[in-house]
Amino acid sequence: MTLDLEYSEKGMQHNHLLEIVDLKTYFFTKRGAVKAVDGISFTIDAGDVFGLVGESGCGKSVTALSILRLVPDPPGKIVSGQVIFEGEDLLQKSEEEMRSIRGAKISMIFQDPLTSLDPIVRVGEQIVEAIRTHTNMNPQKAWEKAVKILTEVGIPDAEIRAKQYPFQLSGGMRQRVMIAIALVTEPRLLIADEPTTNLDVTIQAQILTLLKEIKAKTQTSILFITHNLGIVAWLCNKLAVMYAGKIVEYGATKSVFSNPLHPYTTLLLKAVPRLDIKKEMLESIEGDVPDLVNPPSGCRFHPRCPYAKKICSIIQPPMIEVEEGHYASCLIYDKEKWRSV
Amino acid sequence: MLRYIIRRLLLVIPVFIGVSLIAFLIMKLTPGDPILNVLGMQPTGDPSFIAAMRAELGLDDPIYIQYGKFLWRILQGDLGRSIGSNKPVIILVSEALPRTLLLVVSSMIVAIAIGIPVGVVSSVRQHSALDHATRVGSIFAASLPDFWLGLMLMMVFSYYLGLTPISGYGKPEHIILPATTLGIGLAGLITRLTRSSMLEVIRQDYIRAAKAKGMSERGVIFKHALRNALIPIVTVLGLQFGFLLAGAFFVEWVFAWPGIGRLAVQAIQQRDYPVVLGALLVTSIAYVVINIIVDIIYAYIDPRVQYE
Amino acid sequence: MRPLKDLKKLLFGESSELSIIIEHLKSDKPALFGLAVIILLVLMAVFADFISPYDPNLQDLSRRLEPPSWEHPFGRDEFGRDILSRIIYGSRISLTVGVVVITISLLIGTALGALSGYIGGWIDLVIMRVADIFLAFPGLLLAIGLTAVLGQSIFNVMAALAIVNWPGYARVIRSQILYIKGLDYVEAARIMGASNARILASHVLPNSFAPIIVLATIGMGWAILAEAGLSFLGLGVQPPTPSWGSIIATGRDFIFRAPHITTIPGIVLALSILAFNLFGDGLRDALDPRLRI
Repeated sequence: MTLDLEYSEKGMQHNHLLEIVDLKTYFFTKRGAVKAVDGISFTIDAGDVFGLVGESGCGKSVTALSILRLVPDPPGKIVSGQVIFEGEDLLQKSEEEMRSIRGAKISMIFQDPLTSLDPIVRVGEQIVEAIRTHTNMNPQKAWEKAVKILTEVGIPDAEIRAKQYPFQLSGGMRQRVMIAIALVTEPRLLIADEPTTNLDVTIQAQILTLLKEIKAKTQTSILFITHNLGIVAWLCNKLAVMYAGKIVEYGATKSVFSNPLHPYTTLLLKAVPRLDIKKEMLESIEGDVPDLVNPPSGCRFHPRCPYAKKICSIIQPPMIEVEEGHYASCLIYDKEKWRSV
Repeated sequence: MLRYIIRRLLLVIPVFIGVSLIAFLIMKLTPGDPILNVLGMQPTGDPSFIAAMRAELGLDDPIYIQYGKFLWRILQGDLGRSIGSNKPVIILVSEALPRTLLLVVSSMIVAIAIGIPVGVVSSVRQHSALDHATRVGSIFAASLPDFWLGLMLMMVFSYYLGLTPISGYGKPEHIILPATTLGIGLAGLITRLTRSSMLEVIRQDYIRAAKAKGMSERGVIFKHALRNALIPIVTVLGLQFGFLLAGAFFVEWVFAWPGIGRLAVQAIQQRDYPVVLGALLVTSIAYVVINIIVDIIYAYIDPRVQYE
Repeated sequence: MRPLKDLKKLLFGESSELSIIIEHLKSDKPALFGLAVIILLVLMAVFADFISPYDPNLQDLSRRLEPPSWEHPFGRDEFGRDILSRIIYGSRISLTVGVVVITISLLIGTALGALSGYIGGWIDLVIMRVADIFLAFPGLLLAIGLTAVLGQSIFNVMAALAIVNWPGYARVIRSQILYIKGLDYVEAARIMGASNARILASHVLPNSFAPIIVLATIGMGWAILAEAGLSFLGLGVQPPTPSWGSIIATGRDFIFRAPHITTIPGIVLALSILAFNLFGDGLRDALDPRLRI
């Protein structure tokens, strides 16, 4: 099965901004290898806002860290695969070359802005640091640029705020600072790992609006990692659904939402939190997140899948292009095999 | 910041009252007749004379008045006179204290200069041979009794190698061995502490975020990890000042360093109680003041403190 | 905090606290080394009368300051006494001081900690403030001051060291009581008639076992060091009783002519302190649930 070829969409034969091919990242623990990311492939093109969706522990954050090669080693290790960024495989680069990419061409914002900002360094200084790591701009100019970008990400009284410490800022403002740090170097790709999970709903909406504005104003593509399909529908043009270290569905947001293919996606969509529905009514998916040391045989979702047949526990389903540019890894779409049992 | 400093300084007052109260109680509990202790005289056998002295010294007053008078005397710098030399205690003490502080600060510099770099390297190269050697070495260093270590260093470096003066005070080289002796145990502690604090900090999200900015390992360690790791280290350094002061009593005794510790130990051996009390009182106050200075440094390193 | 356990189960149960600790310690070589030295020390102290080659106080002025020989492996001191024998008997002083200090500290600490935890209010406040002061203030300095006031004797050394050493235990007991107070079923036990003393004996102490054993082990090392230090200054054990600290103190006067008098007891002393520190450290690692993965 040569999947990577199938992934490139028709009419998009030019170089992708980011192309991940059969990436495997394992964590080697006493219990055995935790296959956090186990052979995933997807592509992001210039201008994309790509949503990577899944429950916590499905490997989406590890994917992000793998792209930047920041997986804690030990115990983590990128076992195989390619991360092709602007035509070059990042996994082949030296640590020094990686440093010139991190924060400059690919920036990342993290889930918890409070713990991701150094608590004892002024926020302006933390932005200056991002600038001066990659350029020789003098400190005075860099500070001015830091204040400017703080204003741009919507922080009022940026000059005063820049001199403050993270603990003096509200949660929303801290995340804006993180975004400012990430964007000040005008990266080609911004990886946002659940940037709004720890924020309350109104602030969440503000930050998402900010990201959408950034998308409209800059050349930066975004890899948006979340467990919230609602956000993806609103923000992203493409998405991939991850389950237990593998991608189970992949396609344009419109296609996925109008015609979800994988049973897992269908169930996730039913569980999308909506403001007009009370919490108790949310449907959650039965069963547990699988153990990634000994993942289920065959399709990893089969123990929780309402449609599972015996064959699902035997054959690992391939990625099948069900409609144009819309893939799912489920045997239901392999008519022959599905009927044969 | 200024407000914080003032607030911290105001804390000296209750501590001073507490320490002086303890000193006062110790004085009251001192074995033997307080008059004889204070005056350093032999019993004359003349009860009327002693009674007159009692009245004159205010020993017949209620205890709280006695304490008030005692406090007032201390505040004026009157700590009585040495029984041995008849010199005012305040003069003996104020001569000795700066020498002790010099020794303590030097030993702290020795400890920091050894402990922090070794601890950082050990944490960055966790589980390396060097890391294991450091862990064993640091606990070993912290287990050495100061007074014995001092004698050993004296024997090797002064007697056999002739590199340093045996003991005494006055020339810069006189401080080398005492400061090293006093500093080595603390160096072991700081090494361990730096190592564990660094290991804790290195796991934090902001370290990962700094790496995601493209900073070099060196940059991340010095600009973010070490600064944050220093916060608990500074706290412990502050506490350790007291233990260094206690250690100075032994090291001064070994190297004949004329500081407050040697003064106190001599006074104890000669039962020169006014000097003993004066030395302990001044040491305690020095201890408290140093801790406040450490607190201020702490607030400087960790901006969160000032705003609490 | 760990759930409540019975002392018996704690010590002898199948996956008991003790067996977990032993499992953990087995792989901790420095801690095992420490334990070996501690056992050796205890044997030395207990069987001093049998293993000591000479009478520790037997003088032979004609052979004073004699360096180590086959006959006297650690040499002779300024009165011609056998240093090996004096070190062996000195271990009695060191361990006695250690054990007595820890026991008294533990008793004071338990009493005050229990009082603080059960009664609360201003009594708690006062006791904990005092404990804070004792914890912050260098204990050895206070012990020097106390022996200066109380007079110089081994008994006063022990009293002084215990007085400065109790707060750690008080804190452990108090926090354990506060924790138990918050539990429903002890509320139930209390209503059913369990006395405070019974709760203390059957719930609080067993659950404080882990931190207390660590405190006690490291405290032993500290007390041995403190006794040696005070004796070195002439504030502790008075001659001719052999104490490691006082052997070093007299050796100091002959350090260049007869370095063995200072060197050897110092090594024994340092090794003993190291042993308690290593073992205490190992115990702490073994008992700390956060480190146990």
